[in-house]
Amino acid sequence: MSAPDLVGPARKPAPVQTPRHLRLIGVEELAAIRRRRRVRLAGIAVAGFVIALLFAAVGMHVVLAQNQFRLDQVDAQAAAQQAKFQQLRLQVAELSSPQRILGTAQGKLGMVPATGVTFLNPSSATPGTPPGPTQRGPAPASAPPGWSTIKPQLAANP
Amino acid sequence: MACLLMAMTLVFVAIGGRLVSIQGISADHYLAVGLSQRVRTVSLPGQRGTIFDRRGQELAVSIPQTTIWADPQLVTDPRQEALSLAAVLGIDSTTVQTKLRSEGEFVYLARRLDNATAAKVTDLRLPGVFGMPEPKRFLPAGPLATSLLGSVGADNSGLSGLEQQYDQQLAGRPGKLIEERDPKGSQIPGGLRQYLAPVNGQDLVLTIDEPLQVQAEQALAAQIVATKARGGTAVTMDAHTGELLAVASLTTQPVGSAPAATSQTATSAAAAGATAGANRLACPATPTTEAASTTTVAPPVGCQPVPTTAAAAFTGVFEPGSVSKLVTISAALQTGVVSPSDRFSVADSLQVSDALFRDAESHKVENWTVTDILANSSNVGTITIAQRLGKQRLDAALTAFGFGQQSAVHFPGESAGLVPAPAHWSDTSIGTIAIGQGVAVTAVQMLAAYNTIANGGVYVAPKLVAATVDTDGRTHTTAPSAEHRVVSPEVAQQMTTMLGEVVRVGTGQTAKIDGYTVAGKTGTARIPLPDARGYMNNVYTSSFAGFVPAEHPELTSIIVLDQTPQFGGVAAAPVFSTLAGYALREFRIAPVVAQPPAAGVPLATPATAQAAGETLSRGAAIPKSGATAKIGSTSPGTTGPPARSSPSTTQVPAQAATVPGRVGPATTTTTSRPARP
Repeated sequence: MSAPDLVGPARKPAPVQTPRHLRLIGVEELAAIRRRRRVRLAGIAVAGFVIALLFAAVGMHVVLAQNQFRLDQVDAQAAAQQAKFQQLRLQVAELSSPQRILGTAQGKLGMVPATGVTFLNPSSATPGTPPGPTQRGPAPASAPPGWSTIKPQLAANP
Repeated sequence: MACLLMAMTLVFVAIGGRLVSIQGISADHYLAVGLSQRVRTVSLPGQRGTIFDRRGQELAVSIPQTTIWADPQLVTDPRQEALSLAAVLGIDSTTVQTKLRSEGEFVYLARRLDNATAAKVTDLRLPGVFGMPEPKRFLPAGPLATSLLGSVGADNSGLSGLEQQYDQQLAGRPGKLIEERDPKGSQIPGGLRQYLAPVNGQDLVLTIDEPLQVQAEQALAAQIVATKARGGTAVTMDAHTGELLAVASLTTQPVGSAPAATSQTATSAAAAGATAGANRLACPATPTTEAASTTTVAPPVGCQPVPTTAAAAFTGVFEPGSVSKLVTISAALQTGVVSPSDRFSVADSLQVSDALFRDAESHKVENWTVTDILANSSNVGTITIAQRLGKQRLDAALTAFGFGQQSAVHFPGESAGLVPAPAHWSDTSIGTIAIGQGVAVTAVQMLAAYNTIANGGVYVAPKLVAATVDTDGRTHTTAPSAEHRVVSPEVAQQMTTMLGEVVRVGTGQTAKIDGYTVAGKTGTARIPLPDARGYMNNVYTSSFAGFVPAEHPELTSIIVLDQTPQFGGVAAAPVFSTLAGYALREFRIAPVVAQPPAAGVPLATPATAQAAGETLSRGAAIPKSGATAKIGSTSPGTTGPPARSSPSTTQVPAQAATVPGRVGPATTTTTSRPARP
């Protein structure tokens, strides 16, 4: 025999008094509930925003540090390039010094200064008029070409 | 339990008290300490301006170098760091260690290192040791024109020469950087950072032409050696603009010594006097007194020409001698007291008051024109003309030609020269001043006087700075030189013809340049003893001033050789030929078709031109002193008229100030035929 055979005829369970889920509430109570819900949502949003803000701040700081590092590198490079430019400028000035050229020409290459220059006077020249080249006398004094562009760039680097 | 509670209470009270102390009472102190540890202020030097020549070549340039410094408070191991640094810097480790252990927060370890050495120090990565840029002044052309350029000090400020004169423009304004850095020296991101940019100094563009400057110094140095001179000056000017193209000032000094001043400088600049005195001992070249010695001049063995400490062309004065006859003759022609064709009976001596003036060479009484007088450089003839002119007009002419006043350059230490006011002239002054004795001039003054004739009678103020370049790179051209007419164009043309005769057949023949007509005048003046009355024996200030091409003058030059036994026609004129010849080629100035002489100006003949003046063959000889000496201590000039008042007179030392006032000029003239051509 199986166990169910021992069970007698089923009895109809007594009805359970379930609580009533629906009830009528007043308008004021409903508004309060909605306020509390909004506050909770706002709190969650603010907390999320703050957390996001913190993450953003950290992220920005990392970017800032990275860019500062890069800025340092660029500054250093600029300073190095300027120093190199200045050194090369000095080197060019030394190499183009007439004294050095003269010393090399006469000392190493055995060159000698020209003893004289022969000028050819055009036959059409009238007495008292300079028949020579168009440029007579020293050319106007001036700074080297392009210097006006270069000079403003030559500031001391921070 | 109660004890424990009590202890904890005390601990908390102590902590709280300390907190209040740190955050409240001593907050400022700790804030400052914290800032000092991480905030660093770096001075950023403004770069000193560059000095260019007229072609844009750098003559003086500032290049940033690295200065190594340390913050001893950040140094962790002074001993080890000192050893490392000493090995790289090549200095004593004890010295470095002492610096690293000092109390302050800043100490220099090495200044203005070259890049290679600075890189080695940086590679050591020593805690508390840092590098910073600091400019250093370089002269790419070496000692070229250094007496003109001057020098800068350790603090980068100008000490002499143009560096001093234009220090305000050349010097930049330093900037600074304030920033927070971590102990490793890296900038703290987001930390404090304030940057005040430095301002670079202005650049100077000089009128000097570097190749011509080289040629001037080389030609002058060679002639100083060849003529056994003590020093010399060579200046070249653009005849139209007054721009100085080359200014060479050299002296001699023992090989290996520091530069010193010439005796020219010594007679004008008090500061240079001691140096020149020392130099005189080191390179003796002159006997002391006229009467005491008949010895020949000792060559300056072991001496070499070097740039003077100050540009003697501006700061040194000398009695010009015969080159000054230009002023006398020009003034006489301008005022109409003589005309070029007037003839004078010229003996070889002339009594003026109690002084007897002689020509350089004895000659019979000649019937000379004004041209002959100038070509012969006749003292007697010139004095005769000056007597017609009168002292007031001669003095006015000296002033108009620019003597007795500083030039427009206003070079540091520039002398105004010494020209006695007419009220202080002695009875013999009309004789001495007319032939260039009894006055003291600078080489630039005399150059400007000759340039007046070259420029058609218009005085053009000498000019040394052509332009400045500001921080933004904009060029500002300086104002054209001031001008004023001194003599008429006709008189200038007449003088040009006469000066051309000096070179063609007279005493300045060695100044000739193939293919060109040169106009100029030689000068040979005696030199007053610096510490006693009388004049140096057998040595002269020999000079030549002139311009070329005479038909259309473009360049004017003056050569002055100091304390040489040779005359101007032998010592100075050849340098003019070399220098002006080079300048003509460099500036592409072709010869001009010869023009006829100015109307009414008779030419000199070789026979007359060499009758009384020095001949080229005699030029190297040293004439004996004359026998006649009628004036001297009895001259009214003995007491010495005060120099004409001028701002620069105070810059002239006492020994120079005595030059015009001493009896010397007149004495010289009468005792030894001083004002030689």
